[in-house]
Amino acid sequence: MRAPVALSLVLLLALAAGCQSVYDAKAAMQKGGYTQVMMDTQDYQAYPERDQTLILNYRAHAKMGLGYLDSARADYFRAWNMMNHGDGGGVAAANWFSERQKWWMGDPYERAFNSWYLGCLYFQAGKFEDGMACFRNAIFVDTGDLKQGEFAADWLPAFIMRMRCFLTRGDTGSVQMLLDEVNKLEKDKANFDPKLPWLTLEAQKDANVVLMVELGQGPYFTAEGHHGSVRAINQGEYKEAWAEVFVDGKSLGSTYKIGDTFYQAITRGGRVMDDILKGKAIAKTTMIATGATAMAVGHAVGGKGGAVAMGVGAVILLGGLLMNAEADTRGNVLLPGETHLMMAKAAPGQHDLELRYYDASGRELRDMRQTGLKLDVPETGDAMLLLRSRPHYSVPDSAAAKAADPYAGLAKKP
Amino acid sequence: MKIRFLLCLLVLFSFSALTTTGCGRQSTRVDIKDDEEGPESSGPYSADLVEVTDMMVEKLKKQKISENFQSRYKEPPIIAIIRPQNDTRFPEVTQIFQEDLLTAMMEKFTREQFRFSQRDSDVQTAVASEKEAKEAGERTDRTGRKTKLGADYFMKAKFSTLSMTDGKLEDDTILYTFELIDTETDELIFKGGHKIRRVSSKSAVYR
Repeated sequence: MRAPVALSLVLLLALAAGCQSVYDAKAAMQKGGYTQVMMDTQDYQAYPERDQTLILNYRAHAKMGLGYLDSARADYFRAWNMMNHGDGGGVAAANWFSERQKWWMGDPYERAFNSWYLGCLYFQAGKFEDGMACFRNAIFVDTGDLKQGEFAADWLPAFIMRMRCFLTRGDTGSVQMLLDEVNKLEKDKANFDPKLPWLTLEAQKDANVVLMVELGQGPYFTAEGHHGSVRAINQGEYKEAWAEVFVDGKSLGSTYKIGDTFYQAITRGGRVMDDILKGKAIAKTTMIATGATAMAVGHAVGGKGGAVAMGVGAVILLGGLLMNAEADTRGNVLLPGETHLMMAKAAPGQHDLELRYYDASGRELRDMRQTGLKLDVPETGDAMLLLRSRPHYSVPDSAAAKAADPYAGLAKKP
Repeated sequence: MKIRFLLCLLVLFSFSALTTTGCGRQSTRVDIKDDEEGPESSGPYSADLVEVTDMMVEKLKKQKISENFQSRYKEPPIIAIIRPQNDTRFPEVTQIFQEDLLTAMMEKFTREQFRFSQRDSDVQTAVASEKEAKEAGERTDRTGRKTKLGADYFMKAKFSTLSMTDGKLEDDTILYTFELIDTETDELIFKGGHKIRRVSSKSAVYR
């Protein structure tokens, strides 16, 4: 009798481990913003191996949001290696237990965002060739099997920054090539604003200020349907619809949407895992029903034969109960809902920068207004900044601030 | 007897726990040309670094770049490295290949065959400040040389790639090239290239 009890306990523990929820970055953001996330994830290796890539992306994002750009770059690069050179793991366990047993490697849009942020940080550090490679990879991981008619890369931010990299080489031919590619994309306003005015070579050559403005919250996953086997992609809720940029008190106009994270998430096709989960859900129901029936029949028959039937039924029932068909709902919840662009030409030197955010009806969201930013325009090349409506990203004002140790002076998490 | 058996089990359990968790982790020194160890990727491996550098040095020798220059100017050419071009999808690749080739060239060729001008910005700042101190008489000036080396050739690394995926496999062919460009005429004096194709599998059920 003891052995089956112990076995059941082990299985229940395994089940519980599979269901263990991943770090709640949204709750941490509400509690203490990027500082809270950065502190919680300081020792990312303390989290289960299967979640570490996601945790590392969170840590990098939090550092970037706080202006520790060099440290954020190192984290993003480590995560990049795991997402692009790693094999992952836990797939066999995920076939029976929770899908969350798999190592998190990110959906195509999450992988693209990892490369995107890394590329932007390289670009801001003047490492244009490394940035160039990252933007190319962002496009690559956002591309399916084209021979099978799968999705092609259509997330503009990576294309635009790749153009900026080509311009640092003076390679206008390659910029034109990318422009041709982008201008062939379907002008779907769910993806980007068709009126985007910077998709010409002249506009690209003329600008020396590139502001990437992130709005709102990105998509998140929920497990729905039969035994939670359907992974639903939900749009994040946010009010801000666009931003207005002011340089030295003068309006440059409104930003234009160049990327919609929800659109990217829902247009990347189905997953192989979706079919597995569907099969698991059917198997789970069947096993529970079969096990219960066998036990009931065994009970009714009685005697030695009935006991055997009850035993077999119990094993099948337990297997069915332990099988976890629930979809993996882990996802990078720190990503923005939209990415907007503002390009301009400004005289070299330091300028005051201000951003005002508006809802879809054109009403300003005053609590989001961002003032006191410094825009340093170099003699040659671009002033490039990543900004966000809420919570604001800090813009470091010196190389020392960018390179500072994020944990210096902070008490280590107990 | 039972207690002893349980103790043995406990020791065995602790040992297996130690070897499967972080406590038993260790790093292993692996041959640089070993392709089997480490993560599977279609990006550049350390073996590729060795192969590309060896190939480039061979090609430079074969094309008698130094000899040709010396027959004309009676001096070895001076080479300066300029910004590399990374058109692959792999960041932080060009620098190590460039450094490896430079190191190999300095090892395989003498100063009578090739000379190199170190143009790193931090070095340039340090050299300028040292020269200033010498000119101000704050530091001794042994050589009396005032002029920094002017390059005869620029060396430029240019990596490009053909990348494909079907969701299950990632296929990258990287073309590694190094160029020597005449600094006066922009003539391409040398261009050595080497192609390496790598295919890596991604688990089909990963997504």
